Amino acid sequence: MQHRLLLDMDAHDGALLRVLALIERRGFTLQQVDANSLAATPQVTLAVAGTTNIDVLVRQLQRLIDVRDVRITTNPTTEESQ
Amino acid sequence: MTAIDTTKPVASDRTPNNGAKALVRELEALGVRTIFGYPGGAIMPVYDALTDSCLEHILTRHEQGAALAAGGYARASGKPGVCIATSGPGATNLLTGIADAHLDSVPLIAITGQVPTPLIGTDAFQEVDTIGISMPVVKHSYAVKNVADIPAIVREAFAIACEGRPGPVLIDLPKDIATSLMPASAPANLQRPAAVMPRCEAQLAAAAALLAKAQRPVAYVGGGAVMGNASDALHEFLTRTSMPAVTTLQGIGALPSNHPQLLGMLGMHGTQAANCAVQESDLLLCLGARFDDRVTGKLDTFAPNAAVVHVDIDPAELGKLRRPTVAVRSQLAAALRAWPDHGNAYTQWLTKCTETRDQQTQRTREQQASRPTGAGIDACALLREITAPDPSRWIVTADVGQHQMWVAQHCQFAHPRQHLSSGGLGTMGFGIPAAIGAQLAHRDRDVLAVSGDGSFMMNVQELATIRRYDLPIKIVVLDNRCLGMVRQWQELFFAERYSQVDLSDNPEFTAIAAAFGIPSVRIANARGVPAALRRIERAQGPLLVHVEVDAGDNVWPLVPPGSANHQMMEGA
Repeated sequence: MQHRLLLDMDAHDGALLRVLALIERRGFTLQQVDANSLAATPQVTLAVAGTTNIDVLVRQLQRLIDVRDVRITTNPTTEESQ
Repeated sequence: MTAIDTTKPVASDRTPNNGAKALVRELEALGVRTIFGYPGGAIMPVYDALTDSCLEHILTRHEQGAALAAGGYARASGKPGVCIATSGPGATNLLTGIADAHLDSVPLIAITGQVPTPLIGTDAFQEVDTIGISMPVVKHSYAVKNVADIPAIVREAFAIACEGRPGPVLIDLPKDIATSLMPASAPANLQRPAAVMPRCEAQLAAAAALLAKAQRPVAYVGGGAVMGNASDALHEFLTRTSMPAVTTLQGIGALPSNHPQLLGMLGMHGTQAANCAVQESDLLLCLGARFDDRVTGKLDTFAPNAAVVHVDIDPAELGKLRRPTVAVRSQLAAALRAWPDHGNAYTQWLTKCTETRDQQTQRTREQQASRPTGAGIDACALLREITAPDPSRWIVTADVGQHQMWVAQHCQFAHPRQHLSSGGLGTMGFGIPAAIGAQLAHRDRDVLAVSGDGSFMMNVQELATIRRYDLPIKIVVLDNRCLGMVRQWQELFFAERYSQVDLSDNPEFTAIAAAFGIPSVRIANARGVPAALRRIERAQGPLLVHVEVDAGDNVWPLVPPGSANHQMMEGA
């Protein structure tokens, strides 16, 4: 399943790395990353694919100290991840 | 034992007011009394500041010992443990202890030195990317960039380590920042938004409705009940509902071992009563537990007919492995106190469960009584003999392996934080340093470290720490001259093809104890047990008891990997 996520972040060193590493570590594949790290409150848009529960991944991302909010921006497709 | 020297000054003015001094002063202000560590090049400014501090620094003989001791301190006390090491190998040696704290939700502060800022990224001497390599096993971490931020970072690190689901926080401090002068005024905080706990009345009401109609509910109690200090609320809840309870390895101690509604530990080496009750249940009340694979066996066969109410402070655990019927993000004690009485509606079910438990207990005692006198030592009986006379007496740390399961199955406890075990990471070498931490957290308590001959050698150097600080820890090494748990699995699941498990060339453990200045006793058969128990009872200082056990003794019962929990293997 593919999902698009929109994250509001704190502008802290390493914040984006924590997000991306967590996604890979939890068994999802990063398909697209669009990050504006220059903003006071950076926003990151991600396309991820995985077979496990996206709601759990969202809560795991929300648990990161540098992540303020995570939203699923579009309905998931039924495409299978590889 | 070394007492805290309260006559020492608090961060005197003899040293410059630099970042290292600010860090030490902030630790003092947060109420820290004891830290565990090992010095080295990049952390030297902090060690310089420690010379003027009232903090008691425990010098371990390996950084892993420091991290695991700080973890033991935190597990025993509920307060964050603090460990400190230099850059490079100092930091990498801390990692196992940090990961151990991460997997078991233990509040830990790890402070690492780092090479000076201009050298970062140059492959400098003792440089590693500490933030990068620790990222998967910390709750959060800070690479200090500005000396003025140090007080706020330390305060925030402690808050993060303790709030919600506890965990380890790492502070990586470059040497040049540590020696930089503090500005006259420093930021009060880093403006981190406060965590907001959502209201959960609707979920609690939905759970109460499930409780009202359940016929065969079981409370599945995890480490969250201990870490969340929910033991009293759990007692009250069980008393007014007559619900049977089972615990995970980390949940041991949340209820006294002799609690009338406790069926024991569940899972791979759980009791038949606990596993069967869960499998038969129609409502599983998961209280601060996480459906770990060692608990569930084959996940899709776990409690197959049960609705699940999952209560956890960490929302990321809700639905991670088992989709709950009702998910409640809450402090455990608050949730337990919110649920109404049901007039002891489950008494009949409880009686059925406890009868199964009592029959199993009787069978075990008969098997042990039939063991011939003078034969090999029954490790399970020995552990029970040490702890059963006064279940509130001992804080017991277990290393990892067969003996860890025997401790969980047979030691008797009365209170939370008496049973310290590396559950998530399964860290061989945990037991001795964790006992050091527990003893320093509770200087007037009796601390027992139960180890195996494999695990003991993993952090054997910490015997020097026990001797140095004259800690009266009692160490029982259950020696079967092999890596027993691996040997058991090779026997059962690899057609007895034994591979690299023979430790028959172990050193003489009593000689090792003597080399470290620790008295010891060795027992090789059941006739020696009473005298050894008397030595444990009477020893004022540290004591090592080397216990030879039969290499063929296995941990029973056992749920084979990939099986359902009711498919338990029993010993011969």
